[in-house]
Amino acid sequence: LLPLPKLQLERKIIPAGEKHERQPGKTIVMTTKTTTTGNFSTHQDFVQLPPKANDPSESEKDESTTTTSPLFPWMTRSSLLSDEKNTTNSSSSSHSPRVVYDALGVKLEHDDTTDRSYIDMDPGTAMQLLASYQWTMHSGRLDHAAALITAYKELNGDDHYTTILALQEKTLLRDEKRNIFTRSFEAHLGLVLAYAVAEYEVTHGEKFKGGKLLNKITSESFKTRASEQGGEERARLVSSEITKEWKRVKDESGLGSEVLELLIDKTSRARILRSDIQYHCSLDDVLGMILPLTEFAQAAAAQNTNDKSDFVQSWSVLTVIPIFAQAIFGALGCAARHFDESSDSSIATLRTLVTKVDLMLDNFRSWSHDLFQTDFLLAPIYAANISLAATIRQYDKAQMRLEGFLSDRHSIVSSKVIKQFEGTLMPFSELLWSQLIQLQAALPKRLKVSSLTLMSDESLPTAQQQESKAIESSLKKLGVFPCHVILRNDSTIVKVMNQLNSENDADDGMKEALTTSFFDLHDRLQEDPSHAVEPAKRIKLSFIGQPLRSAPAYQPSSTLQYAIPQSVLLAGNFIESLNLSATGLHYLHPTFGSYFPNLKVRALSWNTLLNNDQILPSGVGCLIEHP
Amino acid sequence: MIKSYLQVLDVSSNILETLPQSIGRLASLQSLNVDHNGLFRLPEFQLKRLLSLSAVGNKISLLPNTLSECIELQTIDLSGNPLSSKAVVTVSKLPKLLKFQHDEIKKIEKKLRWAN
Repeated sequence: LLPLPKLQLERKIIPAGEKHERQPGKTIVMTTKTTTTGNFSTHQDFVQLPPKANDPSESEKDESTTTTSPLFPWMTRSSLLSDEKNTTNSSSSSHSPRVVYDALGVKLEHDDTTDRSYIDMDPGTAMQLLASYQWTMHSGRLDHAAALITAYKELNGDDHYTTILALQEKTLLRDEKRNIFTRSFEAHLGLVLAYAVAEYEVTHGEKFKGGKLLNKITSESFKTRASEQGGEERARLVSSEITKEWKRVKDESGLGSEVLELLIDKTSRARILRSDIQYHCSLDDVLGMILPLTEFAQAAAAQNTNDKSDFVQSWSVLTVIPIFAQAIFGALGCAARHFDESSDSSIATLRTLVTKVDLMLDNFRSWSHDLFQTDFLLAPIYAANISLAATIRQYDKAQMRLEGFLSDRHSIVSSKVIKQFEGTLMPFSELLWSQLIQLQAALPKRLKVSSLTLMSDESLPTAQQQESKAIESSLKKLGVFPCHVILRNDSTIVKVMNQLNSENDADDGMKEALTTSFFDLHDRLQEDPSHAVEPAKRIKLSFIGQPLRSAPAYQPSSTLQYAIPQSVLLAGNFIESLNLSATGLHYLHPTFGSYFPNLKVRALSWNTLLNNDQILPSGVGCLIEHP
Repeated sequence: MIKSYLQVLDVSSNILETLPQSIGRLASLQSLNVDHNGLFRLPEFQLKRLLSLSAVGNKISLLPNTLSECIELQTIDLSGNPLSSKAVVTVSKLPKLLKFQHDEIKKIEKKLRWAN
């Protein structure tokens, strides 16, 4: 095992209400309320802190049910659940999850106040279950694996599970060659573990309070299910088998409770690390902290990882990366908080940080790729770093990085060695695809697009068209939906879509519209726009009473000075009815109408429109004009 | 002619003083509402599918001659406009007009009878 770097962190417990003082030098003082940190000791190395005690006060809190998945904002909970139900029926109808809990030693906690039982389910436990599932799958014990995954569903029957399920079943299984069940066990295990950590950490950050996961569900649901399934004798048999299997896993692989507990402990602590770095560090502190991490990653990359027999060594990847991921997230968060675009030194610091983080991630990837497919674990961090690069206007760099990740085969240079990556899972990352599309949509190439220019000079439009077609083809092939694309002024859409979601299923139409809108731009220029959209797919959109505020332009010369959400403009081909009454509009670009060629109803009443040219398009052929 | 599918356009309660000429090329337009703006006149248009025109609370005194070519017009509301008698004559040529709202409706009715 590689020795973990000594992070120069110092924890100091400060009583509530007392202000803390920044210590001189590079030492970081992390302040945390004693009520949420448990029994952290003072002046201890971060990674050597003793296990955190459970906070009984948190066990009373129920997880509220959300209607949409945080990772798939367009995907309704009901649509996910329908698949979940199908999977449940097809996987295991006779194995009691309770048996699995017993086998895995998952304990129920009873709250006398509410007289309900809870299961303390943190990411570590989730990973434990998933690891068991992967192992039993690998060993051919499909029935046990089914029981385990059923248990996981019962334990974690909220969006976390449905999101993972969606990732597994909706995304990865679409391509036969990349089916995760046909990949190596290591890849499979690493992938799912990466989901469990990265997805939860990134998308459920708000559910953590002081490092304690508030993800507790009642045990009532699985009790009912268990009693319905009946068959105590069979359950005992399964329990016995799983217990033996679990014991074998622990004995043979070293995947014992020691490793898992370590992983669980570090994961939960690392979460606090992110928060502390983000809110209590300066940029200089962050750069100082990044240094030992960089050195560690470099040493790891130089290590020979060809010997896959050492499974414990492989696990070290998974114990270290979550910590580093949180540290990097914290660093990036801190950088974003302190960034001052008017300050040259601030920009220079961020450039340094972006470069170092990129290097570090490449090193980690180089180190871990042979053992585990950790692409999905690293993808969110890469994405965060790319966002930071875009913040300081390193658009070219961001574009190149994204194109590299999303191509099927690319190389990175780590520790002075060029490493080829082929058949990676990065191209399945919806986050990275969304970033690429968003970058292109936000910074379109300077292109004079009109019917006239298309006729006179087709070379540039054709090149861009081919590029768009290539992206579209890739997305379809991979089954990836770039759901994270958020364009200019799109914040207004959220409220509108929430209304749509509550009223009917119109959001599905909007989802599809937004998916394809980016790509049919050129078709709309060259062909009859109406043919591409079936009447059934056309949507009605109302922004009545929602103030539309215009965000600053991405580039000074941009003519897209709209307060209208840009996604709506791009999806304009699908919009049949658009109501912008009482939205505070005072200006519409002359080409505004051109975005909605299939519009039948347009309401612009109760605004302050003044110029007569702002209501109607000056010409359908003039879709977007960049000076 | 612009290939447009727009059937309903509502730009009421803004501060428009004129409408673009291109409005006359919306071949599918059936309902046009420009109530409560600062319009002095309507542009020339030949909207042969237009069924309803509402321009309440503007400053319109004259109507475009081409309005008479909007042969499907059934409802016109020009209340709150200082319409001239010439404008009323233009309206009177519409063959399918069922409802015509105006402040001085009695005068209009008289003119209509005269025209018929």
